[in-house]
Amino acid sequence: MTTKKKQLLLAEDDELLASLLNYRLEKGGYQVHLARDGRQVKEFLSETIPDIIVSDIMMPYFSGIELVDYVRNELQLGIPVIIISSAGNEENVLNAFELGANDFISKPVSPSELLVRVGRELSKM
Amino acid sequence: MNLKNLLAQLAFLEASLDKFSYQKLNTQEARALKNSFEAFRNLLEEKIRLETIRGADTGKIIFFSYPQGKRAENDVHETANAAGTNSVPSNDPGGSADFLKENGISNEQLGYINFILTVSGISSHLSADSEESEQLYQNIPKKPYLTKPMDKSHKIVSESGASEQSGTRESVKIDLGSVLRDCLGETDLLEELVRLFKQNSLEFIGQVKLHLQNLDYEGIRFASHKIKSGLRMMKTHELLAIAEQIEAESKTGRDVKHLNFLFDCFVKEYPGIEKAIDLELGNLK
Repeated sequence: MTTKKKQLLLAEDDELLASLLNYRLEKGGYQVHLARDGRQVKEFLSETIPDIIVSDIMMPYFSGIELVDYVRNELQLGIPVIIISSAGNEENVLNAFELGANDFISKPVSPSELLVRVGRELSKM
Repeated sequence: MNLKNLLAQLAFLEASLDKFSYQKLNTQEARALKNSFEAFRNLLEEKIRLETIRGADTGKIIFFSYPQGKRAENDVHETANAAGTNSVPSNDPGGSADFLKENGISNEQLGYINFILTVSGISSHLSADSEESEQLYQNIPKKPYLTKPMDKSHKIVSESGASEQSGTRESVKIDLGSVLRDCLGETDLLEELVRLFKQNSLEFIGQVKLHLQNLDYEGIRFASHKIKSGLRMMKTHELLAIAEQIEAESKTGRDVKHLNFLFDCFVKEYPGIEKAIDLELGNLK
């Protein structure tokens, strides 16, 4: 019997980091959908509801904070959102938490740590 | 003119030096500074010539090592030879130090004078191409009596180690072992990441160059913020330090000359780093 893979939206415009995380998350058993910017995020979310979202806080067109706001207030979705943020961005991270982000991971991102955090958030569902 | 007058002139030059920054001077300012140095140098040369004649009479040999002032050096030689003394060695700071000490010049001041003479040589090159000026600038001896930084750009990049390392790029070593572990040992993936890193770096260089031309500080800030992640991942600490400075400068200082300087540092550092990454990748494969 095969279990359906959890769908994960990875919103990251840094191709380098996105490639590494994509590889590790797929190896970790997730079906990963990559979005390079806010427009692709909106486009994807208009068609599919993933099980979890991992998003960089600083993206073109649509920041991670706006994404959290969009997911929680416009789409009214309760799916977990994990924010990726660089050091020194604490204020933005706090804003993201206030808007309903579930967790954050600081750059440099350890793929292993991200896998643990993703698994932990999904286990709460 | 006695040494006290020369010292007064020196004080004036010191005041000028406080404001000196080879990156920050416009042509007019550079010319003014150059003229100041030339005036001082002429006075000093005259003084040295006179003292040489006097020193030759008393058996003392006076010499100043000029980076540019070949005329003064020749004058000293000529004068000394004319006075029937032996040829002066090409560099004899001890002799000049003794003479200056006798005239109340401390070691600290002596070092400062040598420094000014070095800079005066550079000042005459300010109108030359920037690469030559930069090279000359970096050749200035770093003296402990210089309590104030000559140039903000130089100071900051020195702290990051970038300027020193630009001369020793061959020794840069990159350790991609942890990245390979993150890739679960997949060298193909690591190779792909390296390819993306190179692509991103070149894109960054192109973007920042363009943003600098357009004075788009937000664009510079965003580009430098974005490149940091990849630089950190590839353990390129030198480039990361420069990118962080570019980001900070584009956010707060917004000094376009400083930004250009940092950008030049990045561009100069990059080829050595790329070579080191390729070498490391070859070792890991």
